[in-house]
Amino acid sequence: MIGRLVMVVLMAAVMAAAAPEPKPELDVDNPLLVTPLTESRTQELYREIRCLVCSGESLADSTSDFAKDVRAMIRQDMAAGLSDADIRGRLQARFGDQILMRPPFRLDTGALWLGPFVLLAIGLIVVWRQSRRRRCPPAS
Amino acid sequence: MLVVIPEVSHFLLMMALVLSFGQAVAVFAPTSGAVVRGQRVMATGLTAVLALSFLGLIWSFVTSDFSVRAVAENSHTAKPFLYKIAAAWGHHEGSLVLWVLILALFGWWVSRLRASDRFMQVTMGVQGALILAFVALIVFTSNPFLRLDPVPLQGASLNPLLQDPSLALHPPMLYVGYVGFSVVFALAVAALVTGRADADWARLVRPVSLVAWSFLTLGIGLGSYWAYYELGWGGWWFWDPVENASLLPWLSGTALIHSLIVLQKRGLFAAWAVFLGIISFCLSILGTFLVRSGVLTSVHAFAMDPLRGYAVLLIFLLFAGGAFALYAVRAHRLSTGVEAPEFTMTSREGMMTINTVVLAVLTLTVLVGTLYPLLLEGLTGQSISVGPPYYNQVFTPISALLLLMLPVGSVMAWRHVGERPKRLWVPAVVVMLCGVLLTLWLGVAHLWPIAGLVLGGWVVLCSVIDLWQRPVRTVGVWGMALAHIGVGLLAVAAVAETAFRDDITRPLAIGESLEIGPTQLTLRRVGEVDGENYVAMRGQVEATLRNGKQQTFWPERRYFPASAQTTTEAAIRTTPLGDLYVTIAEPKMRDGEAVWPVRVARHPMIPALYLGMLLMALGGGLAAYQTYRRRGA
Repeated sequence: MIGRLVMVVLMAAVMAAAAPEPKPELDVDNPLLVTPLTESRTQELYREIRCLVCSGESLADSTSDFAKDVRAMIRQDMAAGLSDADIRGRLQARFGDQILMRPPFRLDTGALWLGPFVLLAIGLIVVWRQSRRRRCPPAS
Repeated sequence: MLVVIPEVSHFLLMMALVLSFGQAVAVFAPTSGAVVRGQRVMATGLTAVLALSFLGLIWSFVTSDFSVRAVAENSHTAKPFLYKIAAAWGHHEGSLVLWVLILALFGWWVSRLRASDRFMQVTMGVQGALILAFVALIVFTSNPFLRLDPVPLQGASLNPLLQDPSLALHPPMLYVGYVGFSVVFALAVAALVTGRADADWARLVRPVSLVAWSFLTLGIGLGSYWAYYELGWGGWWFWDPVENASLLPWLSGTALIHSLIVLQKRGLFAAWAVFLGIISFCLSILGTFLVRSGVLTSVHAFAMDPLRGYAVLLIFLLFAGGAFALYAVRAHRLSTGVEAPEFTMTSREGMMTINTVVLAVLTLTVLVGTLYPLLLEGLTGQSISVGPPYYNQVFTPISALLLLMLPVGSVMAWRHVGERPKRLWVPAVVVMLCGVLLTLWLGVAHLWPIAGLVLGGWVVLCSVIDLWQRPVRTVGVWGMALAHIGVGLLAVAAVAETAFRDDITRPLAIGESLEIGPTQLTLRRVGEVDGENYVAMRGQVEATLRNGKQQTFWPERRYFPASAQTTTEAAIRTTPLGDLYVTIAEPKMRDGEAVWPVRVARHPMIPALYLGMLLMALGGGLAAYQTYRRRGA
């Protein structure tokens, strides 16, 4: 009985924790509204999307009209209930890969993503082999 | 008489061309004391003519002589005096003159070193060839002394974003860093030619590489600080191609100064040190090419000209190609003067060597990340962007390895592990405890940033303890400790700033407030103020802090009529733990009433970020002093 009660309470707690807080999705582009940018999902997503008419700025930093339009598109998609991945996918399909600040992991970007780690491994192996080759004489 | 100053300066550049040609071709003469003396005289003469030529350029800017095209394009009579001077190197042509002047100054310094005749002949020859290449670049593609006819009445002014004290100093600092590596490059080539890279060679190279590295650190720090307060959104590092271009020689230079210590103390890995010396300067030139040519888009404003870019590329290919060809032929025959040195990974030199390898991998990561979009587009036509999320995922974990290892390497003995490094247990336990407490306070969701904070704290704490426990604290020991403490502080601050910065934008009517954390800010008034060469819209924002104290912020939007550009001037209040950062934007209308979008951000640990960079530069400077003084010993 008690076990069951605990279970119910726990489940309720989990559901309460999992339920999204009803936060108004508001934005800097709208003068009527207030922007809770901190840790908001919108802001996180804006940082991942590049403003294509600027030079290297993300949507979170850009004040260009392009950025405004894309931010509006993202907000609409969010209101329609799309996930972050869906929204990124839609933008990628429409504007090409370069709209993503994080390059996709594919065959032709494999060297970009894995190269540094492979090089690190090779470098460490080379140092290790040097230590084998120039091994110290046994301590007397 | 003074009207001919640009022509005289132009003529001095031609003289520099002749002198540097002489200094360069002397390398092919049979080695003798007379040849080396001749090169020394030419190195001194070069410094003199280039210094005079540069002064001539500054003269044209100070007197606003708009008959000189570079002045007409980059200056304005209504500009503050300091920025008239800074404008002399705030554009492509002038910055190249500054570049060759610094090159000549370093060349003069290197000409006074004491080494064998053959070694000096090659070193000065390479330095002369470098000066020749860049002076030719100026004279044939980027002459700052060309006249205009008819003479314009007014100049086009310098980009107002660049009219800033820290940005006036940023290029000279960066250039001293870049160009300092040219000496390392020349010394490395001379080592390859003479076949010796021993402890004496390392002693010659260490001071100048430390000086170059320290100035590069300062230059990068100033640039980052400028971006932080001037660009108006409080970012301090964007992984932008131009920033990456300055980071590349910094990373390889960091590897270089550590590998030189291993070479000097243990006679190990001479070829690796020579390689790092060559690559550091090559990356410096590559950075210049990337910045000047405009092949990479960037948030930084610069005059772009593909032709000049390709001229720099040609210089790069010539010197890099030549040096690496020589390296391929001669590197394996380098003598270190030590017969069959032992090497184990669990020793100080072992950890330092691993450190240089990791730094080299980081250099390549940034290089690949910067060039990959270009290569991919060229090869497959696919265009991608490599932005901050990539570096956060790849660069950050690899650099965490460095932070983890740094204290361990510092307590290890040379050659073998003498005793178990017990004294690391205490700081390890302390920082782990702090990590646990931070996790309890901030939540498990922030585990990764907390791990970063713990690693940074680990470096700071261990470096302080190490300094404390040293029986003898020389200038060099202080230098090392300060630089390492700086690295730790930088890591802590970078992580804190990236993970915990806090940012809110809200359109405010007069009298309205917004809250960020415990602080409440109210827009009191918006007025207009006149500056020396701009008009500004200035907001008065009253802040009420947690402790009830009042503070006033004066964020501005400045309009510069001379260039029809607007800049954002953030109002920043700095406390040891972080900055409060307020900006204001153009008004909008809301229900017939004007509202001003006010952006307020909290940037934690920003002072520690720049203190860390300063400490690194200071530490490098102290170490340079020590190595320079000990050179003869």
